[in-house]
Amino acid sequence: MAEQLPFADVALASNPEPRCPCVLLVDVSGSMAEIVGEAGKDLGYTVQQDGQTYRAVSGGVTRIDKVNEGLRAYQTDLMSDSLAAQRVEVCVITFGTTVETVSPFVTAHDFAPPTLTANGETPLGAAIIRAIDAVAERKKQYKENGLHYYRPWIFLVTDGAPTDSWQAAADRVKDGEKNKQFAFFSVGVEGANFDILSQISVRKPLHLKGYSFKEMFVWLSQSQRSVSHSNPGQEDQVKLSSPDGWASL
Amino acid sequence: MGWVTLVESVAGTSHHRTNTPCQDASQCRQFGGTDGWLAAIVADGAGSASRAEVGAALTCAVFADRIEATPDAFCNREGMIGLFTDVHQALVEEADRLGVSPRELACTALVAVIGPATAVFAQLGDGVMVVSDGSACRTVFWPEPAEYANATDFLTDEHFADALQFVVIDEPIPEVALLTDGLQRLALNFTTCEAHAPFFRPLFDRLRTAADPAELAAPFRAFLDSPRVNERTDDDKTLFLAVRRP
Repeated sequence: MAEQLPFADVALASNPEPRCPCVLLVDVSGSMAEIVGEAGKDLGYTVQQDGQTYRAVSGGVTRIDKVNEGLRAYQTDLMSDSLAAQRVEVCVITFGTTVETVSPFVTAHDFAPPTLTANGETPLGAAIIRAIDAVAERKKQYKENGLHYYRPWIFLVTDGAPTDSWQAAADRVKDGEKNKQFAFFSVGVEGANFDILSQISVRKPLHLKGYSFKEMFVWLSQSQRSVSHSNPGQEDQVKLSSPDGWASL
Repeated sequence: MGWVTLVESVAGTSHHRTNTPCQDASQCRQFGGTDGWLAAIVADGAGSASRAEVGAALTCAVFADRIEATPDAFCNREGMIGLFTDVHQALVEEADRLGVSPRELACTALVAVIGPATAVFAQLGDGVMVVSDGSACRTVFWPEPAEYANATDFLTDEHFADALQFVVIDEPIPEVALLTDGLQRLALNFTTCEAHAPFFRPLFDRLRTAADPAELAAPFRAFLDSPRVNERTDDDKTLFLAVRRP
């Protein structure tokens, strides 16, 4: 025990952890209310929602329910990693009837997964611009507060086609990727317009297998954890595990 | 008595998980008698480089040999750039011999050459060097990060010379520390942009007053691998300390 004494009084500086920011950009348009499991009784009529015709049923698990379950799994996985819990920051922006910042940037251990509801159309263009601006604003705050940060991620999940104009958003994504301002990932759910997604996203859009939102969100958490643990020189080469558990390529 | 030194490189806890070796390396030489010179080099291999530990070890060895042979040649900026260029070339040639791209041997370099009345410091990439006059501590170069927390410059970069930092300090320097970036957030205060004196003072004082400095080696290693350090960083940690004792 005497061996421990020589350096017991070396005081460690306390500095804030570097931040690893991630925007979750989630489609909450009406089609996300589609039932994907445990469908209840058929009520005998149809409804028009978000450009599609649906049979009304008494209940069931919807796409948005699966997203909500995924958000909770995301938070749980991040919390299991004490360094990531201090470093990863999450912001949730949804787009449906409006573009809404449901949950502004907070560190993972302060993140309370919201319960999202689905309604409205798909203003994807406006949503992407909101996400890009949120990232730029957050970086400005980091710099003002002397915080270091990793390259921000924007993670888009959508099941439809944009109902607003998206060309300006596509230009902002290309510009941002070219200047390494952020990394933009997109995931299309069954029914998404992959042709448009490919014109918006520089990285190839991924196709969600079925409704495996939970697996997707856990993969995202593990990827964010890898980034948050990465050290200088690894900026371009953070090893992400393959998404083939939840995406068909 | 001359210079008394203490150095340890400990693999980061992230390396324990992935079973990769420590990718930091260091070398030090003393020459010119009791009132003579100290050369210290610390190199930090890039985490994503497959042969990083080779690059870091080679970097330290070439710098140490060349500086010991002709210390005066590197006391000016041109001489030091020339030396860095030679080390860069040695890394490129070793990569070629191993059949890999130079990027696989990427590392940073901290170089300190301290004589009786003058000292020269050169740095490429992150990590920090701290000097002290026996009470106050100051950083030689403040680590300005690249925009992102996981990006830095490497000795294998084509344009490494643009990122090289160099300074001559024309005064005696009795205490010096070199540390790799795994320890930066524990040893520096990022709000005031200063060395954290309560980190360095006990370390320098212990080394200055130890009857048998060799007995500090085990507790020093235990400190660097302690829970209170590892809960703040999972990167490799290298800390080199030197104190000139009369």
